[in-house]
Amino acid sequence: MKLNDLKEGVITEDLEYSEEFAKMIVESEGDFTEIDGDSLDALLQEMLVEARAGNGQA
Amino acid sequence: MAKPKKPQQQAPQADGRKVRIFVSKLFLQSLANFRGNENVIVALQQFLAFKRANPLQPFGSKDYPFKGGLKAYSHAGLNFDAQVVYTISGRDPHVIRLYGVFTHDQLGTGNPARMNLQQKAAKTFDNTKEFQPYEKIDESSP
Repeated sequence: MKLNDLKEGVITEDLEYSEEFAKMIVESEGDFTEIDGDSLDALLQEMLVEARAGNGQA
Repeated sequence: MAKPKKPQQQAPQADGRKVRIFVSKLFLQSLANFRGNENVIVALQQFLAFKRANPLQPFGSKDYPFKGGLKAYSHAGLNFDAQVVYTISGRDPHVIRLYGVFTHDQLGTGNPARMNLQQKAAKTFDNTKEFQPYEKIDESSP
């Protein structure tokens, strides 16, 4: 999908998202980097440990 | 005389190594917003583990493409409010591209009352410090 599609009214009204959101998603194309699945899981695990430590202190 | 039965073929186990994952800057920024949210983080881990093993299967009952202009993109519910936006393409390896984790407010619904929220969210992402998964730790400081 291209930004022009948004301008041409491709998006209908009964959507689960707004035009702003759609633009944000489309504009993020081309900005990707590959990440190893295990590394991503490890990153999430670090976030989880952090979250649990923070919640435990609350 | 009874015909010999053919040995039942076991379904091949999905090989997680045959899935490549790509993340966008937007994904990392949006993920940072869920720091401290155990439920979303755990659900995202489960989503990734599931998709790595079963790239073409839906993650639960709330995993389907958007309608309209974003129909090439899918979103899977992580909890009552958060959902991950992604695409999947290719085959052996499959390629999963993660676009972000968003709340319903951040998605917006086209409701004019929510438009301000959506514009604020867009600005928030622009201004959010980029989440650096491999941020170097300054070990020189005492």
